Amino acid sequence: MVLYLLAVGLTVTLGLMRFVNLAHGVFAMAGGYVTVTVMSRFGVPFLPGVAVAVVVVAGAGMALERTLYRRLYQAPILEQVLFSVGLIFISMAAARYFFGPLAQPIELPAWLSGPVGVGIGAFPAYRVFLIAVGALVACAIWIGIERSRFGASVRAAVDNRRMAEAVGIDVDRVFTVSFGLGTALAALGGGLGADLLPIYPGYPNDYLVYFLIVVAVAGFGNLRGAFFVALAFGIVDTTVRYFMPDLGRMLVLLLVMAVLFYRPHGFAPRTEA
Amino acid sequence: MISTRALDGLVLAALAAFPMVAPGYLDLGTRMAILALCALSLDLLVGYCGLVTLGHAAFFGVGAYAAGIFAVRAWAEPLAGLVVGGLAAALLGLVAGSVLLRSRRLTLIMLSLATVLVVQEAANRAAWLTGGADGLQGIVMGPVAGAFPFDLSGRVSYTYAALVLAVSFLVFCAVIDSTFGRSLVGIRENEGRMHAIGAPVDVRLRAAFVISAALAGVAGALQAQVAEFVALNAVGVEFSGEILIMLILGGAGRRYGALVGAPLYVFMQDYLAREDPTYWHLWLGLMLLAIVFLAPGGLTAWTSGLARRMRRAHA
Amino acid sequence: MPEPLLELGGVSRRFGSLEVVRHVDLSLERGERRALVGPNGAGKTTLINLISGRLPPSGGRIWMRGRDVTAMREARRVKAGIGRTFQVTSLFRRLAIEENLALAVAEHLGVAGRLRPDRALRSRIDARVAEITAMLHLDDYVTRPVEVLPYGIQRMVELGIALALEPSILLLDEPAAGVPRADVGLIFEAVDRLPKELAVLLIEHDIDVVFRFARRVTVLVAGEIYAEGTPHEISDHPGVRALYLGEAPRG
Repeated sequence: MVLYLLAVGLTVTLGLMRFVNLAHGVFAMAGGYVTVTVMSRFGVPFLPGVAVAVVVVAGAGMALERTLYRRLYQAPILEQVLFSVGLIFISMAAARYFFGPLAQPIELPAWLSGPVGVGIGAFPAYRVFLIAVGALVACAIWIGIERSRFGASVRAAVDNRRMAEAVGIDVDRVFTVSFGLGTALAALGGGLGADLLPIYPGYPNDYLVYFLIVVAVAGFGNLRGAFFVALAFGIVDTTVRYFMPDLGRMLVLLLVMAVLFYRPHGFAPRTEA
Repeated sequence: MISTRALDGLVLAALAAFPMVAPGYLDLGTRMAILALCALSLDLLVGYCGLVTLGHAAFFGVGAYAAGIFAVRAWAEPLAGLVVGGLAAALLGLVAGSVLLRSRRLTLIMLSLATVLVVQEAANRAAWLTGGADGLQGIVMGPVAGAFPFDLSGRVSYTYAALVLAVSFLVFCAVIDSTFGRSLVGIRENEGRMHAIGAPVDVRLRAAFVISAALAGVAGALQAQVAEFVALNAVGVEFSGEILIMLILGGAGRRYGALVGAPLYVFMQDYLAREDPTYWHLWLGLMLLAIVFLAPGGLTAWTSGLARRMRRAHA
Repeated sequence: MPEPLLELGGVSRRFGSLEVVRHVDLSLERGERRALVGPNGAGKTTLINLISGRLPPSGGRIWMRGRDVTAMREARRVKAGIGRTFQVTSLFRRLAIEENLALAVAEHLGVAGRLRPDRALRSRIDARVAEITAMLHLDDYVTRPVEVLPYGIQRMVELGIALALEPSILLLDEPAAGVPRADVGLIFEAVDRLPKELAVLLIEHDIDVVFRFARRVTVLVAGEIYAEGTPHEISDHPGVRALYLGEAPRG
């Protein structure tokens, strides 16, 4: 479910804004580091810590959007890839410099560390919590983007910038805000999920393929799809690993390839012109 | 304007002159030649077909493992090993191409990443064959063509690698200068229109995939033979990224891009990363941003733009 | 009766719940000059996309010389003799005119998959490219990238690429769309000089051009064939008159 939280932010930048932002994990990692830091240095509890991280990272994300990302919206995909890979490298070096190479331990509050009963049995409270947050975010996003004027203006701005400007949409602002939203979601996922996907310098690199899988299988810009795909992916991944620990990752990846072989556009509703 | 033919000759001359100019750096030169070949092969996909992939290490790695295993278990003759490495990678290219080429853009990038991970995981699991995480050890290469044994000075290694690179470069030039190569550029520029002029786009791209994979496999085989070792991270995602960076540094879709980029990259890495790999990542990242914002198209595009401006200033 | 070069039987295409082309029957003979007219959104371009194979039909069949090509892919149909231009110019923008044309010539000659550079072949391609540029009066621009050239010239290249394929059926989707008035004449002059035996289906809004060019006119309205006949029959057709007078008078 962390995957969903991470991937949905990417769906915003990648699917809606059509920017190939491989550096998405950077923002998630930053969210994790900020959470850990404010918790250990200033004794802030977990949830407020995550909230601080979301605000800080979203701010940083928007600043980056204004200064660098913005120039590359019209650039070929190769340059977007190179730019975001560059960001990944820089962030990895920075993380190692400031925090060292080891994974950051995170202390969960007591109410999240025990098991909790949910109808059919007891589950770790932490995971239940993550799923609940994921579902909540999914609803919020669905209402906030797919159904709202804001979502429509993002799409309009991407499709035809000049036309969008002509009808009075402040394109620059729309882009900055949606990019900020994408990074905020990344930070949320990185912070909340820090116990499940440990925060360490290799983070943006090593989890990259998983974010991309969710976005690609769901189909670009398919926000609702991302929720179900992330859920399905989590279930399949856990099951396969449980029964065939030796081949786990390989099988999952091959499965993904097979799915995309038959549905190269993922599960997004087909749109044709 | 200097003719293409003269520049091609210059490239070959530079390869031949390297041991005389820098006799103490033959190992580095060998590494440069191998990586240049790898970047060259990637250029067919990225530069000419316009397909951005982060999966090239899969072909390099499979070539390396195939050649290494072949040397350990079958025959230690290097040239035969090159053929085996190239063929193994070409086969993977054929399979991967038919899966990956159904998608484009980001899905293609993701699938290419997944390909590398699958190959790496397979190599890791099949430890009985590949040595797993410890790497493939125990390779002892015979003399090249039965006559030139590898020596400690690295002279034979360098000459061997440089010759393979030279031949591969000529193959690469033949491909990009052929009507086939032009049609790849057509696909890059406007895939839809290529369909509308009757081009079998999928067949062409798959062929390019196979050729590119085969060349990368040869590079991998070279690496395995020269080092007499194959490390598991030869099929790593990070290495894939590095190959791409070398190519971009020189300039993708440009005849000499890979040949300029890879040596430059190796040189900088040797110079900057000696002390601390952390800073190397930082430099690498900054370098990428610099290319994207200051010299899009890489160094060769930058220099030819400079040459054009100078000519105009003269006129 | 000779078999028609191209025949459509009950061809339909729907996008979601919207049926854009409905049960169209149409045929083209060798050397025919037919215009396809109709209001915006009538499905004209979609019909061209169906004939060229860019879109699969949702119903009906398409035959070429009596052979069913309904399931044939776009690239194969080109080989079978269907050439087209695009309403919105679709060129290799960063390549020179001669390279644009050379790509099409190489495909047509069936040598585009060759892996080895070959001088004799190259000069054969260049010779054919030169013929086309001469025919379309493009000689002054051949080495310039297409994207820097005036739009009228780009439209000529669009036509040149289609001609390089030496089709037996040519589909022209508003060849002068977006071209400044002064240059429109040049394009239709080139269209008038097309080889006699070529069957041409032209989408065009300018009724004067249509009447000068076409022997037969097909009127498409809301995806259906509304009327068909000689230019005279069509211009006398009361429904068509109403349709065109109802539309804001052009120009």
